[in-house]
Amino acid sequence: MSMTVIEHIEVGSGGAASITFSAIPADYTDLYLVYSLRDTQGGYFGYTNIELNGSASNHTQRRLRGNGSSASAGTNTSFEIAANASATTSNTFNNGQIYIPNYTSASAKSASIDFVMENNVTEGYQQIAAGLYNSTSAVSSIEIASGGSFVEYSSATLYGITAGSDGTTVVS
Amino acid sequence: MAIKSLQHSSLTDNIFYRSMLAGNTAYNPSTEDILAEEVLTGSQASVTFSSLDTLAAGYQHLQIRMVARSDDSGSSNLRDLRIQVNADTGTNYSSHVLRGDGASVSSNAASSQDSINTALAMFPRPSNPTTQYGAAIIDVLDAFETTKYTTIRMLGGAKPDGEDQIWLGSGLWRNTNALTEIKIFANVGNLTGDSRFTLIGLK
Repeated sequence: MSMTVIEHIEVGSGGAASITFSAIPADYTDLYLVYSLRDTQGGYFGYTNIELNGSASNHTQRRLRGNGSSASAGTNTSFEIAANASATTSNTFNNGQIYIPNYTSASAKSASIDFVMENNVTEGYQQIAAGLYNSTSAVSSIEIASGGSFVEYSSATLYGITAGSDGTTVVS
Repeated sequence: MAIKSLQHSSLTDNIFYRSMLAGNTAYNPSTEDILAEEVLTGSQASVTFSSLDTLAAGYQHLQIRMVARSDDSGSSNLRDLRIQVNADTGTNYSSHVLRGDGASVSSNAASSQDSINTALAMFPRPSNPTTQYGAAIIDVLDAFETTKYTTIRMLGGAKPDGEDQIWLGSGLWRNTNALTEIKIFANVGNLTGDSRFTLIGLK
């Protein structure tokens, strides 16, 4: 297994409505994206979607979520995550990842998604989800779309993961 | 980091190569490297990765992978994972956790603490079978940026008999300084021998 940085993006002054990785090469086995996000929405939970191939369609997820005092399970017709919104502790950004195995497959793609959103009060969020992108198209772009605007220094790093071959491991 | 050597050259093979690789495998610098690893040979109070500014120079993110248990036997509860950074013992930390035990899920929080310490129930203790350790992966994004507080994401679990736990946790250090040190310890007791901690840098 080897890991390659495809691109690291940091939001500049003035903010950005989204962070987009486009023209992702089909050279790898899996994709791994980590993100550190804060946005301008009110409240604590900054609604954010991860959209594959430039469309909100064909995304579903089942999630388990904690808010600092209780836990719940639910579904979304999107890959919904949360950035730290404006009422959370200043200078605090979320921390999350999405892993997409076999992103060039002609079958539907599964994804493992989790994030944490810290806050120096009781209300803070942790979420782990199983995502399904029900499309036969290879994933060639990933957009992280804010419900508001990502603030300066929000960042995301996209990695390509290449399967290894040690010559001894048998897969059957 | 892998050790690379030239297996082929015009000098040794007496062949004229048109490619600078001369038949050798291309070397691609790794994106993910093990920077340090500590395997305890006996009980000790904590494990500290220090001098991160030089040890992890050139890396954007950090990850710690660990298996550990506690030697404390004073309570019926599992032992908690705690973290301090940059030797800061002030009440500058908060943490949250989502936890399942095989039957129910819960979430709790702790604000203005002297460490990241949300009762993660990470470490088995001596009354649990000695072969059972807790495991966790800890991710620190943008660890050396001085424009944001440090948010840590942790995914772990422990399965001592009757006390199964899986958890997704977070910790916040309210300071914009770049990380120079990460200290890991249990809330009570020492970390036992054969506990293992691996620090990985991601570019």
